[in-house]
Amino acid sequence: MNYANAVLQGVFLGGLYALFACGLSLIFGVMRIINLAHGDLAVLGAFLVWSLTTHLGAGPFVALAAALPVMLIVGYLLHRTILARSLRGGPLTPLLTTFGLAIVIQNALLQVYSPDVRSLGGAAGDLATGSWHLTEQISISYLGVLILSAAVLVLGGLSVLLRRSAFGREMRATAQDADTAALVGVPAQSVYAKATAIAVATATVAGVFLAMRSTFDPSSGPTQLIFAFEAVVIGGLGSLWGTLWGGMILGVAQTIGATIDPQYSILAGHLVFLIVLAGPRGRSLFTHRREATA
Amino acid sequence: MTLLRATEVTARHGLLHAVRGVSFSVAEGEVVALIGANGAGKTTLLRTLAGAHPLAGGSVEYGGEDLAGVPAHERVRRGIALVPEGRKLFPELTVEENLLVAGHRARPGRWNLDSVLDAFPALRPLRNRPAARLSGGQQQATAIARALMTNPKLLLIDEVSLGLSPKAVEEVYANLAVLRDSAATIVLVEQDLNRALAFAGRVVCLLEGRVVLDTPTAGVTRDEVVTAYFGFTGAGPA
Repeated sequence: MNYANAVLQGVFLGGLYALFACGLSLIFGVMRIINLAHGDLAVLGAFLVWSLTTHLGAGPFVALAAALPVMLIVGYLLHRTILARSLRGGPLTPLLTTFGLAIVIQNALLQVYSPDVRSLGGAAGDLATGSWHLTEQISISYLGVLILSAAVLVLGGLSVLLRRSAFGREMRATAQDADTAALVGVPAQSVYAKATAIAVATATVAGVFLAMRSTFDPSSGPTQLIFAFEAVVIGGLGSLWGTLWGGMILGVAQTIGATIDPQYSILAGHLVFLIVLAGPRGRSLFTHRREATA
Repeated sequence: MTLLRATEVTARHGLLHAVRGVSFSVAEGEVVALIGANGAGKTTLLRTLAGAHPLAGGSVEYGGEDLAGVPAHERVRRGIALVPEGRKLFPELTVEENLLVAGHRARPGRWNLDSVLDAFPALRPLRNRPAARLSGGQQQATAIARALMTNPKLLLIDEVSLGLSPKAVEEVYANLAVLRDSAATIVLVEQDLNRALAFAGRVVCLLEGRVVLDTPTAGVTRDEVVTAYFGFTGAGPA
């Protein structure tokens, strides 16, 4: 029964990883950039929401609603000022640029907020601690359901955006061939900037749910980046729905590992990731196609 | 009235001068065939006019305005559309999506999804098919239709018949004839000299990046064209 509960909790944890991963997947799918600052941007968003709840007394979801437009603008400007220039330097330059950006964000947060750990769990109240007890050993937390629902909504929304909207078509066309997209009137840099804005906004949502679920500090970003990266790779680079399955597999591996022995939690996730990397399909358990661009 | 004027246009691929001081102009409603052997600079010239290749020297005026520094997507908005060599459709998008991408920011004009599908009726049953699964002729028709969706004033078409079956070439030219007869301004690159001379009102021949012939097709002989094409007098291409 412990293992059944572990699987259940792993699925809900996977929702959080999928939320972290979808922005990473979107940026990679559209621009072929692996954004090493993705986790730190999520933590930046979490600190922004924490500031609004702490200093203005706003509820965490009201604060999130206020923070999202700000982070959309941050993402847009991030591309216009930094990523657009680094893209012109070849495929390795954005990797180094986002690595440097991650360090800048971490140190800026340390300077402003100190290394103390924070949480939005208290502000979230019963939502963060309450759960439905199905049996003595199996329970479902309110927050877990909310996070998984949010992940499905965000991924579904992105999927609809990509497949049904004019902007989505432009993103997919630009992802497939940016030069030709320009020849039919699509301004690639504008599309890239909007995609980055969306990715940073989804990272903010993930960061806030992380802050409700546990604690965070200025150095929390890289760990979340690793989990997001693993979820993306397990699910298939650039595949939106693949990241949900990838996140769930990573989450289940971690919770089962933790059930065997708490110190195996992270290790079990890494092992699944390595198995996928070394596996016969090479890149993904699920797909060779890039749904983000298809 | 002159729509496009290229003056001493130079374009490079690294150290190679692909286009060397090319000057020519295109009047509104005119159909110009750009011919030349492989490596003559035709594709580079068209891409330079469309803003997809950097201009290394000279100038391009369109509608009386200098296009220096104007990016490709902005040139589309001003009315220049390029059908690139190899069609370059978005392979994972359907035919309809390929058309709609081009139509989203289109200039106002007669072309929209319905009118384009009316002009290219063979595409209508294929509208939900991914572009990667089209035949060569269907891809070329889609590429031309996609360019039309931007409502261009100047249509640049690179290698119209390259890689197409004779039947597909006939179909594509039947569509182009409709455009030509509607007073569209077209510059097309064509390797088939006979077809180029029959279709266009003027022929411009490039040799090693330079214009060696620029004349109306009505008064030119095949020998004159062949001489310009190869740079010597002799047997012409098929």
